[in-house]
Amino acid sequence: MLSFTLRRLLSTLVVLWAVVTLTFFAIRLLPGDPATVLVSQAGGSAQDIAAVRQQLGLNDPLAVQYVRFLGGLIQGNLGVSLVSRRPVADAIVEQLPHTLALATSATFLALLAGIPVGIVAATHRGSWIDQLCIALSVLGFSMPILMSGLLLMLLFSLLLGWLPATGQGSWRHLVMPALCLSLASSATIARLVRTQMLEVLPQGYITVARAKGVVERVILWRHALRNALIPVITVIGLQFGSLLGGTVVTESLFSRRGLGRLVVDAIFWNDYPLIQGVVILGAAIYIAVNFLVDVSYGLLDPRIRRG
Amino acid sequence: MIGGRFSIAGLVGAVVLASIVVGTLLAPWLAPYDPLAMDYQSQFLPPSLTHPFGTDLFGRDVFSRVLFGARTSLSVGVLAALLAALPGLVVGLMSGYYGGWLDHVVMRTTDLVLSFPSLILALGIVAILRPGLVNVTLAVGLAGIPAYVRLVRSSVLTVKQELYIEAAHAIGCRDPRIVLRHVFPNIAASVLVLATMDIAWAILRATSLSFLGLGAQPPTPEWGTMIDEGREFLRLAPWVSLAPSSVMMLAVLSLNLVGDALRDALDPRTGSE
Repeated sequence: MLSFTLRRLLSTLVVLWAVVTLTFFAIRLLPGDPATVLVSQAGGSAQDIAAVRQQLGLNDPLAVQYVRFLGGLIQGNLGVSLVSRRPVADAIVEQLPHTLALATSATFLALLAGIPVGIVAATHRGSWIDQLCIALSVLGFSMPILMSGLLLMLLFSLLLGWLPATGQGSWRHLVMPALCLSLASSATIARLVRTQMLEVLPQGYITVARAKGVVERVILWRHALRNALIPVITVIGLQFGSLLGGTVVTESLFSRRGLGRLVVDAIFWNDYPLIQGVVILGAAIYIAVNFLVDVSYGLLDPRIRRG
Repeated sequence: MIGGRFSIAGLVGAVVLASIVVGTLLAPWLAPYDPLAMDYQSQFLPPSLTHPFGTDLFGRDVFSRVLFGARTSLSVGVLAALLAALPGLVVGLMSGYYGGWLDHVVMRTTDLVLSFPSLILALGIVAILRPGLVNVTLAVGLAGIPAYVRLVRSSVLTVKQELYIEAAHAIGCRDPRIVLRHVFPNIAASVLVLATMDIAWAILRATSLSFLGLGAQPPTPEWGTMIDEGREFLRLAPWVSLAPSSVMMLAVLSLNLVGDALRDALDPRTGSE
C-alpha cells in the first residue's frame, strides 16, 4: 500500500510540475508587456517602463525567469498582482475558502441526492419509479446553472423569501448556489450508482446473503452499495473538476466572492500573475483531489494496490 | 441502421432540436421585431400576444432577441464542437493506429491538458487570446480536443484487432487506405454521439463565458449576455433572463436526448439498459 501511494505521489508531482510549466509558458504568450500595463495605469513614461521591466526581472532570459518562478512557487510565492500590487498568494488565500466551501458542499449534496436516487432506480428497475429517476437525471444533467440558479432565486428568495438571493455570510447564503452547482453531478452519480447496482445485484454473494436470510436493507447498503461505490469514487474526483469550473459561473450568478470573480476580473485587467496563480491553483486542487481518490481507491479495493 | 430503435425520449428530443434549429435558421423572418430596436415606451412589458416573451430594459422584444441569440449560441456551439472534433479525430486516429512513441507523446499531452478543470482551461485560453466571441469559440473548441483524442484512440485500438484489418493488410492495402476505408467507418458512430453531446457542452461553456462578460458583448443578442442583463431585474421582469435560459436548457436537453438515443441506436452493446 505504501509503495502504491508513493508511486502515485511521485507521478502526481510530475503532473503538477508539467501543469505549472505549461501554464508559465502559455501565459507568456499573453499580448502586452506587464511592465507597460503597470506603468500605463500609473501614467508613467518610457523610462519608467524600462525601470519596471528591470525590477520585475523581465529582461532576463525566459529560462532564468522560469527557474526563479519555480523557486518562488515552492516557497508559496506566486508573484505580485499587476493591478492591486498585492502578492497573488494573499489574494488567492483570501478568496479560496469561499470557493472551496461552495465546491465541497456541492459535492456532498450531489452524493446525498445521487446515491439514494440511483439505489431506488436500480431496485425498481423497469418500473415507473425507475423511469422517473432516469428522466430526472437527464433533466438534472441538462439543466444549466444559469437556469437552475435563476429558478431557485425566483422561488426561494423572491416568492417565498426564505433565502437571501445574493451575497454571502451564513450557511443560508450557501444553500442555493451549492444546490444548483450540484445538480449535474447528482445526475451523473445517480446514473452511475444505478448501473453499478444493476451489475452488483445479480452477483452470487448477494444471492448467498439473501439465502442466509440477511435483511434486504442490509443487503442493499452493506453488501451491494459498498461494491457499487468504487467506480463512484473515481467519478467524484472527476466531477470535482467540473464543480470547480462551475463555481466561477455560480459565484458570478449569486454575486459571491471567490476565485471565480478574482480570475474574471484578472482577465479583464490583463493581470497575468493573478491569472497564472488561479489557473495553477485550480489545476493543483483538481490533481490533489484525484490523487486522494486514487489512494482511497487502493484502500477500498485490495486488488488495485497489488496491481 | 437507426430505424425503429429510436426511443420516445430520443424522438421528442429530435423534434425539439429540429424546431430550435428551424427557428434559428428562419430568425430574420420569424422574429416579429428587430432584436436591437429600442423602444422606451415599452420597457419591461410582461409576455403578451404582441411580445410573446415580453420586453427588456430597453424595450427590446425578448422573443426576437432569443431567436437571434440562438443563431449566435448554436453556431458557436457547433463551431466549437467541430474545432474540437476534427483535430481530435486526426490525432486520435494517428495515435491509435501507429502507436509507439507518437501514441506515448499524444497520451501524455492529453493527460496534461485534462489535469486542468475544463472551464478553467477555457478561461486560461480566453485570457491568452483576449475576450471576445470568436476567441471564446476557439477556447471552448481547443479545450474539447482531448476528449475526442481519447475516444478515437481507444476505439481505433479495438478496431485494429479485427480480422478485416489484418485481411486488408494481407491484400496489400496501404495505411492511409486502411485508416480511411476500414478504421474510420467503424469509429464514426461513436464520434458522432460524442459530437452531439459535445455541442450541448460547448453551448453551455460558451454561454457561461459570455455570461461572465468574456464572450459576446452587448447589445449583440446572445443567451449568456441576455441572462446577465436580466439578472438584476429578476424581481421586476423575470422573463428577460428566464426566456433565454429556458430555450438554452431545451437546446441542451434535446441535444443530450438525441445523443443518448443515437448511442443506443448505433451501438446496442452500450445502451443505457
